[in-house]
Amino acid sequence: MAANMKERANETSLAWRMGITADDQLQRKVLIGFTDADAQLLRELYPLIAQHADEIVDAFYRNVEGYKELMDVIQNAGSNIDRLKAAQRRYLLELFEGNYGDEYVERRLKIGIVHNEIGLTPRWYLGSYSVYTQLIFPLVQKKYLFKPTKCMQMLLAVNKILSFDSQLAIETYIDAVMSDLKSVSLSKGDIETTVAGYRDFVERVATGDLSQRIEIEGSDDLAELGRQLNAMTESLAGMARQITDASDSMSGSLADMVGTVAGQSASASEQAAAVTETSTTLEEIRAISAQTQDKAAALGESADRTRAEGEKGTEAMRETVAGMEAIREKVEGIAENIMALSGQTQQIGEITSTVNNLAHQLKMLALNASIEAAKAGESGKGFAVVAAEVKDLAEQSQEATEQVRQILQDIQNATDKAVMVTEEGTKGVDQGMHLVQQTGETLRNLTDVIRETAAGSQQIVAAVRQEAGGIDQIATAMGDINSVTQQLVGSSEKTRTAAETLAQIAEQMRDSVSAYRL
Amino acid sequence: MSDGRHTVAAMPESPADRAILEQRARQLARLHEQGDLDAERRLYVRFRLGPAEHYGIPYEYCEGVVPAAMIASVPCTRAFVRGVINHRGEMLAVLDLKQLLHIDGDACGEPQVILVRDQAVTAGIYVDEIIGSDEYIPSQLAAPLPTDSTINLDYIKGIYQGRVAVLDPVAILGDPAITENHATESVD
Repeated sequence: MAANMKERANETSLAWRMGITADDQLQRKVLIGFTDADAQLLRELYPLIAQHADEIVDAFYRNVEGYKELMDVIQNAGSNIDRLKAAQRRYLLELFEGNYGDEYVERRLKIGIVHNEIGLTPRWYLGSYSVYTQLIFPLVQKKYLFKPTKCMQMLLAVNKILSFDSQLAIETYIDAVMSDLKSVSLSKGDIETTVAGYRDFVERVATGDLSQRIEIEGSDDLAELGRQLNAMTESLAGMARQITDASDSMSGSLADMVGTVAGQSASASEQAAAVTETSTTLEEIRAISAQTQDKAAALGESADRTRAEGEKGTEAMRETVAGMEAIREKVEGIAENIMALSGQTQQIGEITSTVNNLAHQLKMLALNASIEAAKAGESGKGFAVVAAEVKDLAEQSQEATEQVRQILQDIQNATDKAVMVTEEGTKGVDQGMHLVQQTGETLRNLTDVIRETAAGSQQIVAAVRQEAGGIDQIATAMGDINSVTQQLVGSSEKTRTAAETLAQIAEQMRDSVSAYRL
Repeated sequence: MSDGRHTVAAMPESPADRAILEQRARQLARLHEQGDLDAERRLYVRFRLGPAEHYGIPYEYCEGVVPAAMIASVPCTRAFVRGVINHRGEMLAVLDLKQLLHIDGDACGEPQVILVRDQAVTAGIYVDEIIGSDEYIPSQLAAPLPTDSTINLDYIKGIYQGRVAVLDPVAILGDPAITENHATESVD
């Protein structure tokens, strides 16, 4: 039962797959004369090798590092020298452990397969045995310098086990080559038949028949070639289909494009005419703008003059207010003087009244005197004359006082009128002051407005100047647009020609593609 | 004879010149007549009663003129008695002629009192205004005309030049109505 389990286990091993059975192992050992005594000798060497394992491995890899090709192989396998040194040390010590059964064979086969897979050719692999020999033999010879027989046996044992290993390694390489050869499963006749079928197929494709496909059997390289031929034909058919579709749609698009280009050409012509018209209009606008600029400049100057005049007006108004104030003071002074004069006139009137009263009394006295003189008779006649003259004087005084009174009355009336006129004058001056102040306020506001207007005019002048600059730029741009439009007209014509040519090419292309049967 | 001849010879020959000469002669003759009238002239005090009526009192009856402000009114007297006045220590009655002559109208001007004497009787006459002294010719006084409103025509000596009524103080002061009333009032 245990033997059965071992047998089944061997079925998955490399040795079983490669047909290396226990008998086979034994035959190989017999062939090279490897005995248990050799195994014993190798085991005896173990301590020595273990002692020098590191320096042997180091020496081995110093040799390897000299070959760039080898280092590339190691690097491409995703490994490095340190990891390899550990594996190599283990490999080296296994040579001297003394167990050379199935497990040993399995590990050695595995090493060979791994080296084959990473692309390390047998040349390098087998060469390394010679390197080992050159490293190990001097150690053995040195240890058994005085036991030549034993030394020879030891060296032979080492040589035998290295030979055993190299056999196994060669087996793995050969096995790999054989399995590659086995994958070519078809016979020569089958290959010829298949190739003939492929040739017919390719000829049909060459004549434009893309509807056929090769029937594929198997998975070898020839079958793969057939699949690729099928895929190629499929791609060709797809391309031919796409070309047909593309040429169809291209013809349609080109027709549209020709129409569009014709429309564009017409539009471009209209645009050119419009641009010319716009340029003419712009010239007119520029002329108007120049006039506007002149007028705006004149307006600015007028506004400046107006502002200056307005400020002069404000100054004059200020002086007028001061003058009106002075007039008011003077008129008030006149009114006071007239009032004083009126008072004095009244005093004169009182004095005149007193004089008149005295004259009246004098007149009465003169009358009494004349009466007394009359009583005196002849002797009183001279007195009567004096009394009459006194009476005349009294009457003259009365007349004079009456005249004075009349004059005073006139003066009083005139004074009253003057007072009234003066009061009206004062009121008038007050009203005048008020009006002048209002006028001054209005003039100040007006001056402010004028000042703002002047500033606005300056801004207008600047704006008009900028506008003129803008119009010049527009005119230049319109000129550019005009030339571009002219170019566009020419280009449209060329495009139309090119589109027609393209339409012809598309037609030809469709004719060409129609040779394919899809 | 020669003078007469010279005189005749000196006479203007033209009738016009003769007329002028004749007129001058008449004027000279009238001046002589005027000189006679001047001798007849009498002075009088002219005054006003009421708004416009002018009256006069001859100088020979006048004692003087004093201001009416000196009048002291006396109660319970007749209406024509304006009051009394003290003249040089003598108490005199002042008569209101406007009452006696029935003169209406507002008084304006400066009222005065004219002192009048007739023999032993002296009294004051109240006037609205003294105009002054003037002259009149007694022979040219016109008789006063009776009207509905005027009474006591005896008080008026005559109308001079149709403007001034010259009063007769003798008639006024001697009027029994006044004196009797005086007596009655004094008895009372």
